[in-house]
Amino acid sequence: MKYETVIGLEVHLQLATRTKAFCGCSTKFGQKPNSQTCPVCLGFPGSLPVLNEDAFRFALKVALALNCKIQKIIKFDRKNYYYPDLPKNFQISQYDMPLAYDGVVRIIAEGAGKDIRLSAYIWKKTRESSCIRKERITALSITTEAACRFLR
Amino acid sequence: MKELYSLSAHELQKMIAVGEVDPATLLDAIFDRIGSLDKKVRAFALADKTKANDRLKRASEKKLGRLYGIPILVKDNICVKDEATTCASKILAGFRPTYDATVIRKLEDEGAVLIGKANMDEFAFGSSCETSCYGPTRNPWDLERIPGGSSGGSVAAVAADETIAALGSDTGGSIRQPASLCGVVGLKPTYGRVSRYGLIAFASSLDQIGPITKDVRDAALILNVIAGYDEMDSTSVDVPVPDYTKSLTNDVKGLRIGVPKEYFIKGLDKDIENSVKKAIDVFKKLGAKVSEVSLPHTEYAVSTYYIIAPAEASSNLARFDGVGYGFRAKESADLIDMYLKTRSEGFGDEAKRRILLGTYCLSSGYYDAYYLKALKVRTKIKEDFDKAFKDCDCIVTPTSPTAAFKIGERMDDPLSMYLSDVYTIPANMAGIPAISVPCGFTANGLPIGLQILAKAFDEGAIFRAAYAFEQNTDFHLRKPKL
Ligand SMILES: [Zn+2]
Repeated sequence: MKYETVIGLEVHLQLATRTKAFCGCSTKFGQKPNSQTCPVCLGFPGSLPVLNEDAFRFALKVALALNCKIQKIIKFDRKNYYYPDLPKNFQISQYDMPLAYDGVVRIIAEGAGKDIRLSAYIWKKTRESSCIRKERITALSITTEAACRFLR
Repeated sequence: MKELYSLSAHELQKMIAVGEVDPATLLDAIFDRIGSLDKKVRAFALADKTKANDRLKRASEKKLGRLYGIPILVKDNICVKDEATTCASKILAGFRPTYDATVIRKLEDEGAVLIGKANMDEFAFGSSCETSCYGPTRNPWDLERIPGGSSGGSVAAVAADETIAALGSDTGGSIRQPASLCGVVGLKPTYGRVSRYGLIAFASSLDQIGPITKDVRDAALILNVIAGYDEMDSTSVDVPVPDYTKSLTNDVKGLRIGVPKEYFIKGLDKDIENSVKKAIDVFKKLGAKVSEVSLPHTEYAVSTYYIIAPAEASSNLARFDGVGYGFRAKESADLIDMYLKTRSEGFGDEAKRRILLGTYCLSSGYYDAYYLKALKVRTKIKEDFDKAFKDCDCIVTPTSPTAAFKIGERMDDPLSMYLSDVYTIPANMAGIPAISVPCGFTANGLPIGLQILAKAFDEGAIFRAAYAFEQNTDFHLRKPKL
C-alpha cells in the first residue's frame, strides 16, 4: 500500500503585548518568578478574564495580513484539563469559531504558486516553567488546512 | 418606638442623616440581635463585631455615602478581602481572598457596613440551605423548616432582623425562592446589570448578584449602588443606571401585566395559587391591565437548567484542586492522588453530583447532544419571553410552587428539590430581571411570594409594580415570632 503525504501546519506565535492576555499584569521578561501576578492570572475564585485590547488588535493585523475573513462574533471556549501549573484547570482558547478564517497565503512550490488556506485562533499560552510569570501571554495559533500535498 | 434592628434601610438612612440614630448604636443593636438569635436561626457563616466596628469607623472617616451606617450581610460566595470566603464548602476552608468583589467596593464606597458572611448551600447548589458544610440555616417563621436556598442565610437573617439588608446570588432562583419562603423581598437583576467580579462562579451564563431586603424601596436603594458597568467583568453591560427610586410611584394605572397560563399547573400549592390570584386582583383594582400570556417552552426549563448549570459548574469548580489555596488532603502518594483525595474529601454530596452530571454533559461525544442542545432550548425559552413582552410590561407568577418544607424532607430526593425552582429558573435562562415580594401566608402561617418579571434592563417596571403592590398590602410588615 502506498501512502500519500498530506501535511497541515499549526504555527504558534507570541503577540508582543505589554500585558497578559486576560489581565493587566506586565509581561516584562526577566522579573522575579511570580512577581507579575494578580487574582485574575492566578485564577483565584471570583476573578474574571478581560481580553487584552492590544492582543485583539495585533491578532487582527495578522489576520488581515493573511487575507482572512474576520468573525462577526468573537467567542472563547474552555479547554478543561488538570495540570498543576494551570490554576483554573482550564485553558481559555478558541475552539470552533476562530477569530479569523478563510485566509490564504500564496507560496511558490516546485516552481508554481500554491494557495494555502488557513485560520487564526487566539489562545493564552500557559507557562512552561513552574511559575505563573508567563501565564496567559497571548498566543496566536495559525492552522492551515491539511492540504499540502505537493511538498516532498 | 420600634427597635432599631427592625427598621428598613431607608428609614434608618433618614434617621442617621438627621442625627437621630448613631450608626454605632445601630451596629450594637444588630450584633445583640445576632447574639441572641443566631444560635437558633444559624444564618451566619461568619459574624465579626470587632471588624464591623473597624469598617464603620472607616466609613465615618470618608464623605458620608448613600448607605452610610447601614449594616449589610454578604453571601459567603462573594469575595471580601482578608475575610474567610468559603462558599460553605470544606474545600475552601481557610481561603481568604486577596481582593474585594466589585459589589463590596461599591457598598463600602457608599458607607454600608459589612457585618459578616451568610450561610448558603455549598457553592449555591441547592434550594434549602441544607448542603452547607456549616449545617442548615432555619426558617425564622418555623425553625423546623428550611429557609430556601441557596441564599438561605442572607434571607433568613433579613427575615429575623439580624441584618438590615443582605446580598445574595441567583443562578436558578437562589435569591427569589428563599425570599418567598421567608417573606422578604429578593431581586435578581438583569444578567449584566451588576458586576460579578468577585462572585465565586457557579454557572457563569446564569449567575447574578442581587439585594435581599425588608421592602421594595430598600431593594431599589441597594440596586442604585451596586448596578453598573465594571471593566473587570466583561459580561457587565454599559447601560446607564437610572435612579430606581424614581420608579416607586405607587401608580400602576395602565401598566400591562401578563399572567402566563403555563405557570398555574399541577404541583402548585392551593394556598399559593389563591394568594397569587388575589395579588393579581390587587393589580386589577389599582388600574393595571391584566391579560393572559403564553410561555410555551416553560416545561423544558428545569431539565435544560440541569444540563447547563452543572456543565458550567463542573468547569468552574475544576480550580479547587488543593494546589494553590483552601483545603488539601493529607498524605497523598502523588499529584493525581492529591487531586482525587482533596476533591473527594473537600466537596459535599450535592457538589459531587453536579460535577459528575456536568462533566458527563460536556464530555467528548455528549457535548452536542446535551450542552449544545440545551443552549438551543434555552434560546426558545428566551424567545417566549421576547414574544410575551411585546404585549405586556411585567409578568406575574408564583415564586415557588410550595411554601417552606421541613428540614430533611427532600434531601434524599434531588428531583423534588430541583422542582422548587420551576418558576424561577426561566428568568435566569432568559437573562431577565425578576423579584419576589411577600403576597400572603399559607394556612400554616408560612410566607408566600409573588414573582414579578420584566424585560432585560427594565428593573424600573418591576419596581413600579412591586412597590404599588406592597403599598396596598401589608404582608411585608409582618414579622416572625422569635
Ligand atoms: Zn494578572
